[in-house]
Amino acid sequence: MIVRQFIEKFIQWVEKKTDKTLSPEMIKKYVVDRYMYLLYQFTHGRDAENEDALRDLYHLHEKMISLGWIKAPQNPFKVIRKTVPISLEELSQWKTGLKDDRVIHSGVVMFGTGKYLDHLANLEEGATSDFIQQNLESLLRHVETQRGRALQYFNRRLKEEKRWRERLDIVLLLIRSSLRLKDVRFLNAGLKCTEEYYAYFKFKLPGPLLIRYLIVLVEQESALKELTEK
Amino acid sequence: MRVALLAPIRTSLYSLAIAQLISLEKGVELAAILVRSPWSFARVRSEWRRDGVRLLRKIANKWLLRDQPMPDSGQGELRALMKELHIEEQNLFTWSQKRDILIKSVSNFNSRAALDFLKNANPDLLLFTGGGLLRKDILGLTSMGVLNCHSGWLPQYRGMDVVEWAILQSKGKKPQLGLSLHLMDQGVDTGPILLQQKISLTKGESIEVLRARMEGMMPGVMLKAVRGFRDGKLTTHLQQPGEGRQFYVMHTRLQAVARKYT
Repeated sequence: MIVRQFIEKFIQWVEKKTDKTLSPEMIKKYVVDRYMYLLYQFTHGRDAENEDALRDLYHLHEKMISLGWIKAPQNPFKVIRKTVPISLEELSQWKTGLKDDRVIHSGVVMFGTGKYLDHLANLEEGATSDFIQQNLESLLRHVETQRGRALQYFNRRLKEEKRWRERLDIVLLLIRSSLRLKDVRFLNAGLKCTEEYYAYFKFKLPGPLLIRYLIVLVEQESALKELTEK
Repeated sequence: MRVALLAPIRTSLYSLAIAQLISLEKGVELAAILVRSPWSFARVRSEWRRDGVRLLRKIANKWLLRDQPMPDSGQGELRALMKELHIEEQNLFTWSQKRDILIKSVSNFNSRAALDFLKNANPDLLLFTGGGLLRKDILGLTSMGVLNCHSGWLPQYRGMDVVEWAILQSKGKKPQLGLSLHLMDQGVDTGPILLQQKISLTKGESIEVLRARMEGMMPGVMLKAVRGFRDGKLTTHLQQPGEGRQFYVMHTRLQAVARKYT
């Protein structure tokens, strides 16, 4: 009895120390706090001219409104284009560069996977094509089996910021795929990735990369709500 | 018919129950038992990567506290079965030494030592009760193959936490639960299905209690398949490439949602 109690207490202590779980409340607080800072930085500060970051902030704001995390009558971020179109030529060039039509080979991920697969999947009937499905399954398997070592290697030398951007784009792809395909397995993988990445972003200075991480978090929460509450 | 048993640890109640059932079965000889040693860096590392902190609970329940398991260990039904089968031993080594059955501990089922031991025992069929992935050498060692009892309904639910996934996907309606006895191949739960047993979720039953109930049924399903091989009465359902999906360890937030449906 005493032994059992001791072992139970020890396990609980280890679980607490190693628990990376981000509760919904922690996520909301983290996103809202960072958003408030970014609101000032990108509407008054020196970054107010960064079109890409402003676009991401515009979407972040919209998502936070739909989650009920903030109340604001108007989106404070002014953007000329809400989305950046990707030309068919660019898509075709990327796809042609794939070996055997696969986005991941021996743990090495093709640059642009998140962005281009997401775009392709968004096109009419694209989400259910064999090309998308097989590559999504490969990505899922890679992320789930490699865990903390997933998405480490890309087919190009990338600076740290670009590498993180690629990772976040892939996680966004997984989360959006969960909604498109009504397949919670992809959201499951997304949840694990965002928690894994929190240690890096926890104290990250506000900037375009952090905004991207915040978008991943809000889309994750939105997907979770959509897929599990209805 | 000669069979050999592959066990994840020497104190596996599931393996002990199957060993006892097979040893009492006419026309079937338990030729050897191969046990995977828990004390290898590679094993601990791979299981930690897969299960994380859950591994600690697994070790505590199955090895440290086997005589007084945690309430949520899910071993209640298996212990009841052990009593029913009059199994006094708590350890496969003690059990097999009493019955003069070959037994060996290895660090990895795919090792040279494991293959040599099994070749020497010359079984017709292998019964897998846990202990990691098997490679093609061991999968192709016997004429009949390797049997595994998967705690999910195949082909729909392959992989990990399939009980939780089935409940989550049911959204409060009747989940697709069951045991699937299949031959192992190099894929994850993709081999031909031989037997299946549907299981219903009892209202108010927790996932832990459900898993314990399923574990208590698994030795019986495995025995049924062995009898089927002995008597030549099994039919095979080949799983098609597009059929079913692979599931992975479920995130705690999704587990919390699944629990609401029980």
